[in-house]
Amino acid sequence: MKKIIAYSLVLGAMVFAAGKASAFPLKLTSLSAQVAVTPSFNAIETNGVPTTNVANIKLATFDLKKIMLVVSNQTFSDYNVIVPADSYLTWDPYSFSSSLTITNNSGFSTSYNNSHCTMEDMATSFKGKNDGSGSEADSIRIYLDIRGYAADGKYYQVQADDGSGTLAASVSSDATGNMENMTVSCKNSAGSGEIASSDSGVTTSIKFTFSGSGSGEALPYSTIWYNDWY
Amino acid sequence: MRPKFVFTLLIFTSVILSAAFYWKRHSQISVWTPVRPVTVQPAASIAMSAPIANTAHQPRQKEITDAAPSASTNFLTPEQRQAVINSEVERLQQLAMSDAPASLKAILADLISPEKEIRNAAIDATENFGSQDAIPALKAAANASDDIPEKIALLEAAQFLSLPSVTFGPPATPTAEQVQADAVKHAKRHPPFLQTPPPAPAAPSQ
Repeated sequence: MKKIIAYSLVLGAMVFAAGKASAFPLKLTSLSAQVAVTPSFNAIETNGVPTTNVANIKLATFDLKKIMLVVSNQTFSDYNVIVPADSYLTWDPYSFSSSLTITNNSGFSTSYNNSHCTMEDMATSFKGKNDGSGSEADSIRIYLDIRGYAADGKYYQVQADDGSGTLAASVSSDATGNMENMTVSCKNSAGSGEIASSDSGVTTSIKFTFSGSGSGEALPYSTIWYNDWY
Repeated sequence: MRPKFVFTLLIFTSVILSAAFYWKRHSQISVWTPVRPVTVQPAASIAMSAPIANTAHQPRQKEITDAAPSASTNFLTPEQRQAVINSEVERLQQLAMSDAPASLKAILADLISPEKEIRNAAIDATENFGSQDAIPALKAAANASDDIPEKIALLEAAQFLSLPSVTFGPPATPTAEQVQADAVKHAKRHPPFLQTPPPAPAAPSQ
């Protein structure tokens, strides 16, 4: 009886961890960031000495629509390719460290090289069942950077340098046992930032969410990530 | 005679145990959580009304609106319920990328959805839609919420929308000199993205 239980557990663990390396793009479903910049240091200093008694921060917020405007324009500049209006950004967590991809549901797809996303650290918890289903809930540290020239010819950037967030994933107990849902969220972070080719700036607050589902990948994600990354 | 008796007893016991197990499992699946009576109030009236006062400790009013399909999730299996939630979350994400006022109205209706997952997605969608018209509804929903993290998220969204959104100047192409100057500046501020991890440092010499 003990053997049967042990075999069942091993089999369940194998099914839970079974999978093959394939694309698993998560869609960037939301992004909001606040950026504060110094537009021009040349306007307020010479050789390190201030030339004015007053300097003001320029502050602006970015949402996903504004980011897509920058991304679309930069892509057109780089490749002379018009990004379809229904396009969105994706990231494949199983690539562990990569640029984002611009895609849509009609087959458009191109890598956006002025971006980068990396899973930096993880504290994991997961639970698998014998039927192949399982769930995972991790605390994560994540890096995200998206930048580029907008149509006004100026440079813009948002960045999460030390993003604190969560990864939630699950595998359902369907026939294949590997239909997977995953959500990667950054609750808050800061990083570099740029508005209209500003001289220096800070993304004072940024949060974002990648989310998606698919099959053919393995859970728990954390063990695969750790094995690849370290 | 004795082995026959033992064998029969074992079969009988197995049947009883199987029946008990089946009944227990079946009863768990069919558990249905009754839902408290709901208060019907048009979502739009919440969205456009003044902040609700003195409701911090009152139970959240569950809303049924024609724009809140999540209300029907109470009578579904967990899988069906999750599918409805996922569908509504996806709809919110699409609405957020629109600029139509009707889209904002639909997003705001979900700020008071009975489903927490939908309410959270509605907060994100409100931020991504990027209209200051949403601020009163966000504040009203914050006043009506008993969930502290959600209350904070709603107020943060209102704060986010109250700030100036980035605006782009008239179309222009950066000059070669500007691109060159930007490249120098960026090289100082932002090291180029590493496509592969840097090599490991050499082991310290003994």
